[in-house]
Amino acid sequence: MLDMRVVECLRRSIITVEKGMSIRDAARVMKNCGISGVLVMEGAKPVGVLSDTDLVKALYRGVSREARVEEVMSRKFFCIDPSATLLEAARIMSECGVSRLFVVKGARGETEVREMPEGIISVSDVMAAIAGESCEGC
Amino acid sequence: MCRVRDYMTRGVYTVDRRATLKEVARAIAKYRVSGLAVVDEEGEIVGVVSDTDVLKAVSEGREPESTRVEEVMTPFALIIEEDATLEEAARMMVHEKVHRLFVVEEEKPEHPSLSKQYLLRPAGVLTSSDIVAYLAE
Repeated sequence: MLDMRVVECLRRSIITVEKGMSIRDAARVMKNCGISGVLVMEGAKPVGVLSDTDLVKALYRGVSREARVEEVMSRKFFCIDPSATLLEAARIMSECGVSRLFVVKGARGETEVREMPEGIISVSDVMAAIAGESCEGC
Repeated sequence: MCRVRDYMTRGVYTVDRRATLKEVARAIAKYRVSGLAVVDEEGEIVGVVSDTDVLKAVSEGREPESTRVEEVMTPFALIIEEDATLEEAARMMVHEKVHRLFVVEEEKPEHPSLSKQYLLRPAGVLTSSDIVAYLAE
């Protein structure tokens, strides 16, 4: 269950958007993919994370749908090592108040990310593990 | 003005207050939601449990198979009227740091926390995903 390794459950396909994309288009990506967050890129380099929480804040602040993603994204990355357990992933998500971690060798918690992470693991993956369901990692 | 009623999800997924965290995780995974209403023996809502509540509990060493949801749930729920605007809903989510609001038809009480008479039959739920869907238009 929670003693499984992150590398066994991570999702290798990370959904990304460009930092210059409009909030509207990024919201469409999140809606169509059924996910609560995307990695924001500048070319091949990750520059931030856009979550549903960021979009709720944007609406609250009256930011236009046509504004660029980089205006409302978070510039912090929270990460975990692929050899860590799911319990460790749960701890980091809980401590850092995030719903997803990027999988990067040697990382734990807030980390600088310069290239595409190995994968992503989310709170829904941890829920599936607690529920005793098999990993959907890909 | 865009109203909560146009973007909310009708109906509420519930879990019994005596259910274990493993059963909660199973329901969250099955229904693909991030939280559930917790109900008592009479089916009345007594709180809310989210995936982050479960995450926090297991992080602290609680056993998913023996910990009951009533031990970790939030014993109240935030409510909003169907007539409220999505901007008002967003403001409440930001201020209260939540991802879901229970939607009621009646006028809400002064303090936006659980009031049994309002939550006996919530019309549905508005989540941050619904706000994303609105912004995607």
